[in-house]
Amino acid sequence: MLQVAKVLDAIPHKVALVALAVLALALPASAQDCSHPKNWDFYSHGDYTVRQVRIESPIDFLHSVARTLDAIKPSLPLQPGDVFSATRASAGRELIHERLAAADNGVEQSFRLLVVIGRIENCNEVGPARQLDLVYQAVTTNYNAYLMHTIEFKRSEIDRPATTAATSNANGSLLVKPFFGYNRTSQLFGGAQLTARIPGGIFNSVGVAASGSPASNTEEIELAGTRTPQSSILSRLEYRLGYSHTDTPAGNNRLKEGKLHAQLFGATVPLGSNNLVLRFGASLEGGNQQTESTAAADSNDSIASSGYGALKGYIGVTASRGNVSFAGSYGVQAGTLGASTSVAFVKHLVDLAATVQFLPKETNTTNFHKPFTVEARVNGGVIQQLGQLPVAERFFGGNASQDFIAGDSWNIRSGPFIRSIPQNRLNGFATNGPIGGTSFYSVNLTLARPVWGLPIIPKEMAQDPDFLPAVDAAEATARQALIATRKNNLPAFKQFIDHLAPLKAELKQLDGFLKGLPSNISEDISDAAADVQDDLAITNQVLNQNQSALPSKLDGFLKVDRSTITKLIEHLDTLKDALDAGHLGDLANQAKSIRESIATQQTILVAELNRIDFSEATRLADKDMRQINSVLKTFLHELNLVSISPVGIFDVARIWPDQFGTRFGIGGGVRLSLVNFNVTLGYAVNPNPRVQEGRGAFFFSMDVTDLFR
Amino acid sequence: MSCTSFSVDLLVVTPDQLRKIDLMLAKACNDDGSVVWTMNFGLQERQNTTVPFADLVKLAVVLKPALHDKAEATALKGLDAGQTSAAFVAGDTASLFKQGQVSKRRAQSDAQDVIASRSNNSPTA
Repeated sequence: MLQVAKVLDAIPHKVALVALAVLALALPASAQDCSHPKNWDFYSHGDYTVRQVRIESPIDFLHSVARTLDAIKPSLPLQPGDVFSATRASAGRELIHERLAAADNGVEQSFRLLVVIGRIENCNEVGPARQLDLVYQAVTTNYNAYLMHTIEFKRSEIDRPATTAATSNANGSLLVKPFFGYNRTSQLFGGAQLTARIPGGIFNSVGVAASGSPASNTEEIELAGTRTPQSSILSRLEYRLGYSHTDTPAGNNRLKEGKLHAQLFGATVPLGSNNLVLRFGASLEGGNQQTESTAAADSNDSIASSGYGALKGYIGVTASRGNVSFAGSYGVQAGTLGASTSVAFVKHLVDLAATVQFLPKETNTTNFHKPFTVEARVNGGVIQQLGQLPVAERFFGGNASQDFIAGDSWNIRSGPFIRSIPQNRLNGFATNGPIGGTSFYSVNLTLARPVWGLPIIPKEMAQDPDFLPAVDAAEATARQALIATRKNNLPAFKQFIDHLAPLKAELKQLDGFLKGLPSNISEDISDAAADVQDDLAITNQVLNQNQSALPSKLDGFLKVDRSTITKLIEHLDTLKDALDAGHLGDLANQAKSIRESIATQQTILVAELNRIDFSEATRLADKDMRQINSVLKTFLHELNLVSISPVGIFDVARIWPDQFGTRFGIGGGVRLSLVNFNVTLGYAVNPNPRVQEGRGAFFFSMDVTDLFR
Repeated sequence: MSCTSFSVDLLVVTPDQLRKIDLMLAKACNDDGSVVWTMNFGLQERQNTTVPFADLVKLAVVLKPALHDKAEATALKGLDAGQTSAAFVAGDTASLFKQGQVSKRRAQSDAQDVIASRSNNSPTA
């Protein structure tokens, strides 16, 4: 319930944003067109003034992005009322780029794509008062290494953008957010969440949340801290200390709980070609639990109300490859009836989730993207009873997901999920009473495909003939740089470096030759010698400084048309000619001799360099590039700023003991997606309703698609 | 000449977390209709993940597509292998210039030669 309430806090902001997006879509109909939108110089003859300047970003709902953009605006070279100038408009684009890039400094990130494009619109091209609007659009990604690869970060980033961004690079202090929601069990509920940052302490933030309805109430206070260990394996450590209280209906029963929790959570950096992240954690909990079905509890070897203690351990993995992302978790809980070491029960939970996206071939890059998404989730659990089992610890099922771990950094379901039955009512009318079950499984399938949307890369940007090639160019350059740096570790190149000894000897002789030149030489000779001296300084730097990086420089040093050695040879030719002109024949011959020796060495070395097989470096670089390609592909070909999709669902759930057996849910609805944040509303039919059950239930969910598979 | 101003910046950290590559391509428009492409190339390295990154190469090059086909090909197709290696060497030259060991003219020349190092066999614009 609290988890549901937590994600609900995002609704008003998202709805407002989508409403604005829809409104923005409708507005251009009344806008004035520009006759030369791609020719800024047409408007740069002093006869156009700037009506307004805007900076837009698809992700400016993230607090840190919005604040950065707002801070840039007053510094832009062109302000409303100024005479338009292509040069100054371009300088504005450069300023925005610099500031957005600087905002990411200090943030650990494994990838960032930052695109800023300027455009002009609403041109008034007649009459003496000619005007236009200048609009800058910025697209940036600023996810850090761990967060890019787990579903939960993106949920956090989008649910509570300000607080999440604050942990990375902002100076937020206090955040208050109201929220509301509805489900049939809890009815209409509302509340607020308050989060305050604690700078410089062990904990980074303190949060207080409370919600209530005629049927339920939830309160929580939590201190949370995050650390990023300087480790090649461990990416993130989180710890939490909190207290929560919940009071929720469960059919004719009520589940009440008050408990303290202390948690530690860790995650590795992405490992291997599938970006596999291992996660692990532990939680120590204590408090009390009450229910209202004493008779039913007694007859099922359970206890309606008792003290509560638990030690939970959990381990999991998330991985991705191509269009498939996967998450699997196992949790185990040893529970006691209060402050005791006598274990009364052991709970085991398994939760598996997979998302697959099928991408149709796109013929028009400016249209919204239409990925067909299949989401599957299977979870199950069993309780080993070693003594009396608290009723609140039994499994209850319905259309609200219950989390095994308090807090929001990891989502492991702790009960059956079926969308055709209201929260906590899966076996609410079983003959043994509304006390839940001791084992369960559930399977959930969701299918969706957008029928309307706006791509995240704005149409104007995608249509610019230089934009996509520039992105491709950046990608190609990154690959070449990775190949070059991977060469540094190949044994063949290390052997090659040993073969540079003869060249080094020639360079040493050249150094002696330059030092031996007479002091009373002409300016031409002096200039030519200075060029050779520069060459020598560079060759010494390349060959003798940071030798581990030398293989990556060998092509530029020896092989390319304008290589360092080629330029040295050219400058030696010039020096020889200058010495000849100065009637210094012996010195000219010496220069010529050294030049020829160096040229010979260059020929030998280039031939040897060409024979080196560096396919291993290419293979490793291409492996490095998979993640980069995936992110680029997502941004360019999959991601919509906003989209609407019809949704189909199919659920199966079973809980034991329950004489009604396996239950089903079949239904449909609509999904509104904002970037990768999905709000789904629909109705699931209960095809075979049991006694006192309805024909189905409305379902409402919010989740996050793993973008960067 | 048709021109709207934009920039694309790609930053990548290798999976071993030891290298960081940052490439920025920017297109600027002038009042006279001319276009200027700028390329910033940076490479940072560190020996292990417990120490901060240090600059290995930091290079800013102005590309003039009207003057050289290779410049436009570079802007639209990216650096090829030879150009990438030449950029690493140009980074050394830039470092020497900062130390006063080579002339400014030479540092600028080496930066421009990154573009000239493009192979004739590499993709054209």
